[in-house]
This record gives sequence, C-alpha cells and structure tokens, in this order.
Amino acid sequence: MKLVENIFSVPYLIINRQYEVLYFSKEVEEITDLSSNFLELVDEGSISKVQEEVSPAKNKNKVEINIYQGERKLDPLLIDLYIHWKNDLQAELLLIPKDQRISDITVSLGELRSRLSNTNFELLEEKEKLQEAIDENNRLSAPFIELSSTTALVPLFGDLNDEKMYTISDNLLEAAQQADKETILVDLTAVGDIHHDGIVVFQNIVQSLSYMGIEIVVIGVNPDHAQKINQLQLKLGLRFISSLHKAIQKYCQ
Amino acid sequence: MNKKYTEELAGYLLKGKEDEAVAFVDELLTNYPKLYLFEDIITPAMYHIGVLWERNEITVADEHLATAVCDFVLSRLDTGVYVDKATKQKRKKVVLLGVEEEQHYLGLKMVASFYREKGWRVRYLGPNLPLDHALNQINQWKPDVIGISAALSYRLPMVKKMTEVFSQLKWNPAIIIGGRIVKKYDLSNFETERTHVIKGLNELEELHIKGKAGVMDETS
Ligand code: B12
Repeated sequence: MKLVENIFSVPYLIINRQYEVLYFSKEVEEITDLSSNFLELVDEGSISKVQEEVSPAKNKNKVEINIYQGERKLDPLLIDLYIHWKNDLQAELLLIPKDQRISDITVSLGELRSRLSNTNFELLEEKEKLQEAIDENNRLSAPFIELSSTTALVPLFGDLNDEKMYTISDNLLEAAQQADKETILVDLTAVGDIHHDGIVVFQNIVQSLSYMGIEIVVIGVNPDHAQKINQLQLKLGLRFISSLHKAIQKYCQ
Repeated sequence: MNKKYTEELAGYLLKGKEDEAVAFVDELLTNYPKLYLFEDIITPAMYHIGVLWERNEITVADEHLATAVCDFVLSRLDTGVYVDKATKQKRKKVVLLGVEEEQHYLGLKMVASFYREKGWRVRYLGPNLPLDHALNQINQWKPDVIGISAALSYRLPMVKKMTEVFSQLKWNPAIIIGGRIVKKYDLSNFETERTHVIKGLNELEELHIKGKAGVMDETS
C-alpha cells in the first residue's frame, strides 16, 4: 500500500475487491490504526454491511459504519463511508467522521434522563412513605375504648372522608365483634368536616354493626354535622344524645 | 404474527410517532402480559431497527429518534405499577447500572420495570456509570441484587472488573449480568454461585421462580 497526497485533506483509501488497501492518505491515520486490509478497520457490527454495500455492483454508494480507533480501547467511531468504484477492480473510499457533537448531546441527554427517572422514583418512594403515615394516622383516628362490660366508646378525630372511614371500618368491626358489646357510643365532638363519601361509608359500618346486634349512639353532634347527616336521611335507627356526659350516665350508670 | 407487530411498532418508533406507539402497545397490553411485550415485541422491534441500519436503509440519527420514542413507551408502561399494600414485609432492593461509557440502556430500563412490578425497590442508576460512583451508591444502599448491562463488545473488560469488585461486597449481593453482550458472547465463565449471566427477561423470571440465588428466594 502506498501513501498518496490528497488534494482535500480527508481520510481517503483505494481498495481492491478483496478490501486490500492499495493507497491511503495520511489523514486516515488520524482517525484509525491503519491496517493492510480495510475490513480489519471495521467494527464487527459493521462488517456484513460493508461486505454488502461495498461492491462493484453498487457503483457509487454512501453508508454509515463504525470503525475501530485507538487500538480498540476507545469506542468505535461512526463515519460516513463514500464509495466510488473507479473500475471493476478498484474503489475509492472517503471516510468522513460524523459530527461528534451529536454524540456529546446524546451523552448529556442520557445523563439527564437517568437523573429524571431517579428523581421520579425517589418521589414515588416518599409518596409511599407518606401514604403509610396517612394510613397509620387514620387507624389511630378511631380508638376503641371499653367503658363497661356492655358499652364501648369510639371517639372519631379529624375530617370524616371515605379513605379514613375505610381504614377505620376493619378495626372497628373486628373490635366490636371481639369485645361483644351491646352499645357503641360514637363521639363526633372532635370531628371537623364530614364529607359526603365519608358518611356513606359510615352508614355501611353502622349497618354492619346493627346486624351484629349492636346499637349505635351518636354523641357530640354539632349543628353542622347534624345538617350533613340529615341531608343523607340516614334512617338507621341511630340514637343521638347531645353529650358524652349524658350518654355515660345512661349507659354506664 | 409476531413479526407483524414488531415491524409495525418499529415503524412508529422510526417515524417518531409516540402517540401511535403508545396506543399500539396499550392495545397489545389488553391481550398480553408486560413481560411478553418487553421481550417479544419491543426488544425485537429495536433489533429490527438494527437490521434496517445494517441494510443501509436508516442512519444512526433515525436510531436516536426511535430510541427516544421507545424510551417514552417504556416509561408509560412503567406508570401505574403500585406496590401491593398487603405485602407489609420488607421489600427487596435492586440496583441497576450500565457500565462506564455504555449508552445502550433500553434493556436496563425494562429490567427496572420488571423488578418494580415484582414489588422490589429499584434504584436505576442509568447507563454510563463510573465504577467508583456505582460503588458509592451501592455501599450506601446495600441492595440484595446488582444488575449490570452492556451492549458493546468493548465493555467486556469493564464488566469483568465490575463483577469482581461487586463480588467482594461484604453482604454478598447477587450479581446479574445482561444485555446484548451476553447474547453475543459466551460469558459462562463469569458464572458463580452468586453471579448469573442472563440472556433475557424470561430467563430472569426463571431465575426468580427457581429462587436460584438465595436472596431472590421470597422467603429468605
Ligand atoms: C438503538 C441502538 C443504539 C442507540 C442507543 C439506544 C439506547 N439508548 O439504548 C444509539 C443510537 C444511541 C446507539 C449508539 C451506539 N451504538 Co448502537 N445500537 C442500537 C441497536 C440498533 C438496538 C439496541 C437496542 O435498543 N436494543 C433493544 C434492547 C431492549 O435490547 P437489549 O439491550 O439486548 O436488552 C434485552 C436483554 O439483553 C436484556 N437485558 C439488557 N440489559 C440487561 C441487564 C440485566 C441485568 C438483565 C438481567 C437483562 C438485560 O433485557 C432486554 C430484553 O430482553 C443495536 C442493534 C442490535 N442488534 O442490538 C445497535 C448496536 C448495539 N450499536 C452499536 C454501536 C457500534 C453503537 C455506537 C458505538 C455507534 C457510534 N459509533 O456512535 C454507539 C455507542 C454509544 C456508546 N458509547 O455506547 C453496535 C455494536 C457493535 C459491537 N461492536 O458490539 C450495534 C450492534 C449495531 C451494529 N450492528 O453495529 N445505538
């Protein structure tokens, strides 16, 4: 193979049909380690492409391939390969590296993407933790307090929404069954807002309890609550007593 | 049948039609499990794109676009995976990373999805991670499993080195190696009791079902 002076300073080769390098410009050595056979410069993933596309049958052609660089320690270099068959036996090849900026941008984009997805999942984990805390808080919003052998007190805290009522429901029904009480006093004194969805679930709980033969007495109802409960026309045989004090007098002597 | 799906999807990816791609995958999702979509539709679609490149029909620029759309589809498939609240036991942890310089990460993303769906806590460190960074994160978080992914043949020495370093960790996590590199080259000499070379998601699923690696066993 021979060194040729190239009018354009670009990597340039002439090869024969066996891909043997006949001539090369010195610029080739700036991008790859020259070898006597062109195929030896080509990354393994591009070999079959070269074999297919660098053929006299395709007189003029342009393909994208990867070539080795830096003794194969570096990643392969993406180039545009311009092919021109001078005749049936010899082809001129121009090797033009692709703009490096594209690849740089890809790397930065990739890094940004990883950061985004990690942030995403860290947020998700925090959200899960928060959800656990809310659940726990909901469970604690309805302690089951035994007042006497027949009566228990369940003070509710905070807003009554459906999520909270669902969480409460399991504990409450289980406790009621195990404790075997006749009357449960449900105290709404510490309740803020009553949400429509919450009261619907409450209604179900009350229904289940009454099937279990337990009477529900609601105490501590303020005018706001009364309105909400009324709107729903809960005809559940609920009893209302204005204060805890009166209820305890009545049910616990 | 499969080929038809694969090529249709590859078409959307290459044309940058993310809405169509998402709709297409959503539709398939009503009939097929996610694992099947990953392994038998989306992965082959990307491989098909590789074939088109080899046939000189598309360029790397097209691959970039297809990758971005594919990434989007994978992210979409990942949302809506919630942890089953009933499982109150401590969740297993997995760290996933691509070796330094590696930019092929779509496979790794699928693996992340796979574990998330299993209810594991997943730290996806992304591709192109220097070893000492990875080691830092891993030492802090102490995962049960470390997953390494690589596509290019040039990564073999680094994969080997990472595997050696991770094998020295005191709490003895399981190490799994995957990516195109293991499909292309015989890496069976990397295998030890705690190190597994995994060719695809089906094989990964098998590994978990068999509970081959101690920590992967749900009861341990
Ligand atoms: C799309 C693509 C790209 C995209 C990257 C996409 C991405 N971000 O992931 C872009 C355009 C950025 C790209 C860049 C390059 N690429 Co590219 N790329 C491809 C292509 C066409 C498809 C890859 C893909 O997305 N596969 C789909 C995924 C889902 O498959 P997978 O990774 O195998 O994953 C599956 C399993 O392996 C498994 N898995 C994966 N990881 C893990 C990990 C664990 C722990 C487990 C258990 C399982 C597992 O899960 C998946 C489902 O089963 C391939 C062609 C091919 N045949 O692979 C070339 C290919 C891999 N690229 C190649 C090359 C050379 C490059 C570049 C060097 C080109 C260049 N000079 O710029 C750069 C490399 C950049 C770098 N530093 O890494 C060559 C590699 C040849 C070689 N010598 O090894 C290939 C083979 C093309 C070719 N024929 O030449 N590429």
